[in-house]
Amino acid sequence: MNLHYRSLLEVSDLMRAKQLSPVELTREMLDRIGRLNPSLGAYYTIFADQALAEASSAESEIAGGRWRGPLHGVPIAFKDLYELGPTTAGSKLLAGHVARREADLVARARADGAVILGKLATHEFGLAAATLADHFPPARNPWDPDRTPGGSSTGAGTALAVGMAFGAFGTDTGGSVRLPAAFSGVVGYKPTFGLLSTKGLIPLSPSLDHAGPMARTVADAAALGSVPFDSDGGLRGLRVGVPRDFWTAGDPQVRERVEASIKSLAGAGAAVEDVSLGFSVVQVMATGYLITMSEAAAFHLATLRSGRAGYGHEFGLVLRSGLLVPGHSYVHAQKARAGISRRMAEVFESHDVLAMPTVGAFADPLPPGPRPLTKRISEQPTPQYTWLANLYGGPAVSVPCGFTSEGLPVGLQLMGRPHDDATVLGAAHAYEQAAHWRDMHPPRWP
Amino acid sequence: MAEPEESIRRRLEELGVRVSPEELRELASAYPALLAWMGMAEELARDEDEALPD
Repeated sequence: MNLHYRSLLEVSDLMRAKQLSPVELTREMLDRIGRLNPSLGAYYTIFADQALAEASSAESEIAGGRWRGPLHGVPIAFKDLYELGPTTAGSKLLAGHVARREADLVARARADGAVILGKLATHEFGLAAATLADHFPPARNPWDPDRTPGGSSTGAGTALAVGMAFGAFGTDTGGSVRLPAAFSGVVGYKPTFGLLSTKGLIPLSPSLDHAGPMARTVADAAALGSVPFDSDGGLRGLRVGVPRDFWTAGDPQVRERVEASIKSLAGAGAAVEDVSLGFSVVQVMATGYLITMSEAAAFHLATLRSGRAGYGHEFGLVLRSGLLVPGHSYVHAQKARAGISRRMAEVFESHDVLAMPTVGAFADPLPPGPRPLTKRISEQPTPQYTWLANLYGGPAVSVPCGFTSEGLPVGLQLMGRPHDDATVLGAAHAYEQAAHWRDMHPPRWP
Repeated sequence: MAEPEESIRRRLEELGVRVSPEELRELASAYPALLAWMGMAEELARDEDEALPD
């Protein structure tokens, strides 16, 4: 296998054993980024000189017997919502902004000896869909460059899918780590709320915002988050609930792939049974969006009032819509969230994980210009099954589970009880090992 | 100007936020779905509500 498609932990092991030079690996990554990024737009900013200096330092330390851990010398990248150097949030509004201090997770990655390659493309402020008319050109899906890689952590999905990084940190308010993972054929891990610091992230909706690792394998994503799990646990005896009343909508090809993956969970010894959640994906998305739009509008109100130019069309409209949500509706949404969390706690008394699609669609074509607001605020939205975990705060992982007839990836999502990230990661890892979808890479970019 | 465009314009202006005629049209088009979302959240919240005693 080409070095750039090796897993984070594989290259880490090779470097620890002094069989691979962090400098050579970083040079190869920078060379690949230099060749592919002009076509795919994953990176906004590339820290070439600094990355090579970090790699050189890692090489010296490892050679001197001072190995810091699995990220030491490994090239990774951050979504452009993390305060780190030039930080734009994908918005023309912040086109000239340079971070004065670095986000907590950036500082942690530096302390772990990681090599930081650059900043990755994002939907504007982690929400508005990228279009071909945006100030920053959109990242493209390596499985079909005319399509979106999914968002909002768009650049992370693209970069990982074509081997332009070994890991990435995204953010996830309603699915922004797991949706690009599903559309791009990689792994996205949203940890339990609060497990990873969000200090130094440009907020979208603070009561729902999460930091989340993305990688090509579940174990790599767990390593990025420093979250331990049992990689030998398997699936035997795992109690898997399938909330089919929650995911009735969606594309038939997605349903087919997810049903096949659920069968394979059962075939590997998991105890699979249907479970009813008692609410619909549209109700969950409505609740999540009302909270997100209200909190985002409050955060941006002073800037909106100032008339400062630079917000993109869709994001500006979403903020104004957030200002139209009255206080009592925000309270209703938070109470709805509390009810959803209570129901999920009941469900997890008799189930270890829930299995469902990540999203009931596959990657759609990049729009030529701003989408109408009715595409975002709709009574029949594209079903994103991701919002649920943001609302109740539990861990969730999207792992590749196959392809559509068009050759586009589909994601299986596993969710668990809050603070039981290890069970969800273990289940996703066991599925990944059995399924081998991780060995598939975009044919255009060998 | 038709309702709800006028009502939306007034509410945003009260908050000190400007809005163009084109933006107003889009906000008004999406407003029924926004109201439907509010209704859904209210319905889900009902079990959590402590109602006034009869």
